[in-house]
Amino acid sequence: MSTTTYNPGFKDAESVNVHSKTVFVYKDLNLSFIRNPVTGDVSTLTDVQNIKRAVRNLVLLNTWDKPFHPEVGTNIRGSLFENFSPMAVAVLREKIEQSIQAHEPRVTVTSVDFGDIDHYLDTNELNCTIAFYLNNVPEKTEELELMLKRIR
Amino acid sequence: MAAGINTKGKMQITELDFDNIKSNLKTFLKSQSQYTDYDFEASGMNILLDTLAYNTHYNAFMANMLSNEMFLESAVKRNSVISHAKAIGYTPTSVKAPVAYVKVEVHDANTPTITMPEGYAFTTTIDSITYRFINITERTISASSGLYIFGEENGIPVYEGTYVSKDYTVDLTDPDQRFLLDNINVDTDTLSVSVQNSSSDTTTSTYIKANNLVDITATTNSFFVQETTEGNWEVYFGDGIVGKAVEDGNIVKLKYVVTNKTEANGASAFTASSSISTFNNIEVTTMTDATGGAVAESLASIKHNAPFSYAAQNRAVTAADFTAILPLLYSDIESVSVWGGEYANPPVYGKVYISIRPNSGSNLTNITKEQIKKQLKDYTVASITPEFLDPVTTKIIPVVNFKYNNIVTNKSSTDLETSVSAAISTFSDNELEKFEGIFRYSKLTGMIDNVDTSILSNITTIRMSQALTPTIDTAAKYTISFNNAFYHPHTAHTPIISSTGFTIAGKTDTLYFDDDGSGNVRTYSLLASVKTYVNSEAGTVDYTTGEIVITSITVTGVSNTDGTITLTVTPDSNDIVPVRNQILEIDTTNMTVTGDSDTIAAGGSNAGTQYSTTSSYA
Repeated sequence: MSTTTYNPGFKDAESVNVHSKTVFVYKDLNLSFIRNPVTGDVSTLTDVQNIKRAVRNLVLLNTWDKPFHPEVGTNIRGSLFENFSPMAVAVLREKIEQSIQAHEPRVTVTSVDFGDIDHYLDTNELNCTIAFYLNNVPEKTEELELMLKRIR
Repeated sequence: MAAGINTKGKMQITELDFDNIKSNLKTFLKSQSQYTDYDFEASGMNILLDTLAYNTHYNAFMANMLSNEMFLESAVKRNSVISHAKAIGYTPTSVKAPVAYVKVEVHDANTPTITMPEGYAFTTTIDSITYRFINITERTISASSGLYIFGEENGIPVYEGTYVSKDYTVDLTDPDQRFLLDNINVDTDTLSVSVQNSSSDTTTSTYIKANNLVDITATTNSFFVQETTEGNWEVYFGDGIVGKAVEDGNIVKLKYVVTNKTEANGASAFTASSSISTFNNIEVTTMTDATGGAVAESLASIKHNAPFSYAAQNRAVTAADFTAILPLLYSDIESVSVWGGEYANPPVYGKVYISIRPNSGSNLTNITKEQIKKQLKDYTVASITPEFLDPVTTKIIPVVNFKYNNIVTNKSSTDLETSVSAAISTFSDNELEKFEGIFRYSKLTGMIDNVDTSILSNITTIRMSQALTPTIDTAAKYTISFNNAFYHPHTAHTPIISSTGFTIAGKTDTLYFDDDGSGNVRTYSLLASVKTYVNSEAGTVDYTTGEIVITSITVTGVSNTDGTITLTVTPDSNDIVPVRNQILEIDTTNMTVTGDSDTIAAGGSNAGTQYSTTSSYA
């Protein structure tokens, strides 16, 4: 029986983060369109890094952001003026979990954690840690940290 | 194979929908290994594909819509359709106000003349709502034999609505100046346009509406109307070459009626709303009830009529030309039939016959007919005389017996009978009741089977009837044309004609018609269900042409309360075709619909042994 171990890579979706045991390599375009210093081509994202990027994109997507597919996205922005209560946080957690489960078939979410929510009472922000594993490397858990706060 | 690159390696470029375009792009990306994440909704590739597909979809929609709007047949925006119609010289009809004709008698007047001003209103009430009917022309009369009467013979026309007047001062320095009628519910027939020279020079000239360029010179006081892109109407003038141009400082005076369209159709009692030349004792007699109120021409109608009107080229020569022009002259038309006199029975050369079924009421009034005839003069060839014939209605009387499975429904036979009756009535409304409405038997029986899932089959027999209106106490010959062959399998077949009762001069008994199966129409009286023939040669019947001739008869009374004798016959064919001014409709009053539970389908105990059927022969 395999034991689940924690991948000691970066939690930040921007950082390079490659998995040594991945069988299939996911490759994606880097939407920041940074030039590859060697080839001069648009840089690519691979493996865990791009999956984290995809999960982040998904969480930050609002419903109706995707043309003709209003069902995609968590609509976190809709929670902007909600009263800060354990219930609101629970709803947010539910939205994030469901959305990833429905639209990112490469991963399985194990937890969505906001830490000690009392800490955020008057800060107008939430630090969200999403733990998941890649379906083709189920023994390693990945973590993605997202700071949810209003921009201005 | 999925959409995308086909087996020859070519890209599919005919897709218009976002999802299909995106799927094509994905298929295209399958051929490379540089980026593999296009399939996942939140990946960078996918978001880029969204942008590309959205852009392509947007452009495709634009191109598609533009090309649609470029043609009269496919345009869906009203302003596109109007514009295409204008290019082929067709002006869609505006909304039409109901018009009534009233005779107005002013009592106790003692001045040499009295004047009914334009905008003078009469009021009427329909369903507790008051409507105003407007006189749109100033009328001055003097006493005739001591009486002051407006519209003594046929009445004066009054239009339902509100009389609006609007003035514009011409400003040639403003290139965008337009003379708009500020309401979409303007009846352009009521529009009057006059132009005053300037605010200091009150000389005013009246302009007339021009429909085409014939007879219009540089000095003709004419105006044109067109529907604007916003759906209301605009008046414009000539350019000084075709039609007189307006000059700087001229005051354009527009007067028109804004109507409630169909709401006041049928108004029949009017009262004067104010005094005429200070005299208050006004008696208003309705000569013709209000008719003709109609909504603006629909897009479908414009698309249908504009090409015909173009083909007719403002002249009425062929029957099709008349069909195209009549809706322009009178908009309250549900169905129109036109045929040349050479196709009449018997042929009458030099005439064209027109039969119109109006939307409101069953026949056109004589005044309307005369007006249309007068208007047609501008279009017809000199030697052709238009003649109006009222539509003749032939009623079809179905006898429906249907079987239904009472296990698959919780409706009673009465419920089903009601549903079938209602469906037949709708069938009559939709398929028949117009000149080109052929009665197709299998369409009716098929429709009956489909009324409810529990209906298994039906046996439907039909007869047809026509009403004959006799002139009471006058000897006359009557011809009733069904224009469809009668059932006549052999000479001396049993009677196929029956009728409602009537009395004739010199007889007290109520008489009826039937036939002897050999071409003679007979009259008989009924005594204890026994027929006693009074005249065995009262008329003739031609089974092939479907014509019944009553030779000479003096009818003194009829049983029908509407003063008619109904003749009912059995047709030879179950499909019935209307000819010329004939219109078919289903007689929903006299039809019978009977539902019977099907014993075999429902598994009755005596199912296989005592199943009953209905005869298929009337």
